[in-house]
Amino acid sequence: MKRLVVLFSLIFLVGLLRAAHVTAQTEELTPTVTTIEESVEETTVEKDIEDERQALKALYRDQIQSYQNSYRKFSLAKTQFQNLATLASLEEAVLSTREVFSARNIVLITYLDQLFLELTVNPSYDEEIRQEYLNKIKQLRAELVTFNQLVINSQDRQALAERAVGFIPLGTELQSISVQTRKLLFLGKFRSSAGMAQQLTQEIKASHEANPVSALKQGERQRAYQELTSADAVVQTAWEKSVLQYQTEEDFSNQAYTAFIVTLSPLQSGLIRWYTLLEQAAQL
Amino acid sequence: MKLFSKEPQIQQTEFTASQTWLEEPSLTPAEQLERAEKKTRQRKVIMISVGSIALIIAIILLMVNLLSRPEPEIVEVVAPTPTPTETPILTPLLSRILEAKQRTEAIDVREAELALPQVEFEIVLDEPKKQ
Repeated sequence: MKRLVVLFSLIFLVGLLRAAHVTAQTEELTPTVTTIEESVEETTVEKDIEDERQALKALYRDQIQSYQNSYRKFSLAKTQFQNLATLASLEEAVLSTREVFSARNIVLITYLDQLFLELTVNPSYDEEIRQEYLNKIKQLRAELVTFNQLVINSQDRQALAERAVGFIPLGTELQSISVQTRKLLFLGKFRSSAGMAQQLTQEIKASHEANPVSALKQGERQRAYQELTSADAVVQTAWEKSVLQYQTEEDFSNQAYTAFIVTLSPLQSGLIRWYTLLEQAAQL
Repeated sequence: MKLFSKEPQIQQTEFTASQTWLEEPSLTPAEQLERAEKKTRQRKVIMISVGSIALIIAIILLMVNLLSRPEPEIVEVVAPTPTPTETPILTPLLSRILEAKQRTEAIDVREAELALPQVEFEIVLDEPKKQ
C-alpha cells in the first residue's frame, strides 16, 4: 500500500514539473505575439500612407496632363486673338484662358496636398517649424480654392487680366513654401537618421559592456569607439552647415535650393560611413 | 505464496545437507523446524529487496519516458541562421543597423518628385497688337 502511495506521489510530482515547464514556455511566447501585433499595425499604417501617396501621384499626373492640353489650347486661341482680333477669337481666348487658369490651380492644389502629406508622415526637423509650414500649406490651399472659384466666375478679358495679377502673390508664396518644405523634409530625414545612429552607438556600447571579451578584443572595441566618435563629429559638422544654409537663406529660387542640396551630400555620406562603422563594431 | 511452499524446501534441505547431516549430531525436530524457518525468512528478505529494486527501476524508466516525450503543443520554427559567426545577442542590433543604413542610402537628395510643378506662372491674355 505504501509503495503505491509513493508511486502515485512520484507520478503527481512529475506531472507538476511538466505543467510548470509548458507554462514557462507559453509565457516566453507571449511577448513575441504582442510584438507581431504591433508590427502588423505599423505595416497597415505604412500601407495606408503609401496608398494615399500613390493616389495623389496618379491624380497629379492626370491633372498635369489636363493642364498641358489646356495650355496648348490657350496658346492657339491667344495667337488667333492676337492676329485676328475678332469677337469670336476673343471669346475663344477668354474661354481657353479661364480653362488654363483653372487647370493650373487644380494642379497646384494637388501639389500642396502632396507636400502636406509628406510633411505630416516624414520625420520632423523641428516640430514648431513643421506645424508652421503645415498651416501655411493649408492656408495657401484654401486661398487657391477661393481663387479658382473667382477664375471660374470670370466672364471677360478684363476679369481674367485681374485674375492673372491676383495669382502673382499666390505663385510667389507657393514657390517659397515648396522650397522650404522640401528642405524641411530632407533635414527631418537626416536628423532622424543621425538620431538613430547615435542610439545604435549607445546600444552597441551597452551590449559590449554586458559581454566582456579578452584584452586584445577589448582593444579592438576601443579603436572602434574612437572611429565612431570621429564619424559622429563629421556628421555633426555637415549637419550644422546644412542647418545654417537653411536658416540663413532667404532666397527661395531654384538656385538657392540647389545650393542647399549640395550641403546634404557630405551629410549623407558621413551618415553612411557611420553606419558602416556601427556594422563592424556590432560584430566585435 | 506458492513460492514458499514447504514441501520442496524440505526435500532440498534434506538433499543438499545430507553429508553434513551424516557428520553432525542429529538435530531435534524443534531445531530442524527453526533452521527451516530461518532459511525461509532469508529468502523472503531477498525477494522483497529484488522486488523493490525492480519497482524503483520501473519508476525511473517511467519518469525518463515522460520527460523525454516530444511536446506537440509548441511548434518551434527554427529559422536558418544566415551568418554563424554572429553572436545571438547582436543579431537584432545588426539588423537594425542595416535597416537604418538602407533608409539613409535611399534618401535621394536630387529627387525631382516634389519639385515645383512645371506650369506657367505668368499666363496673360494680352491685348491684340494694333495694326
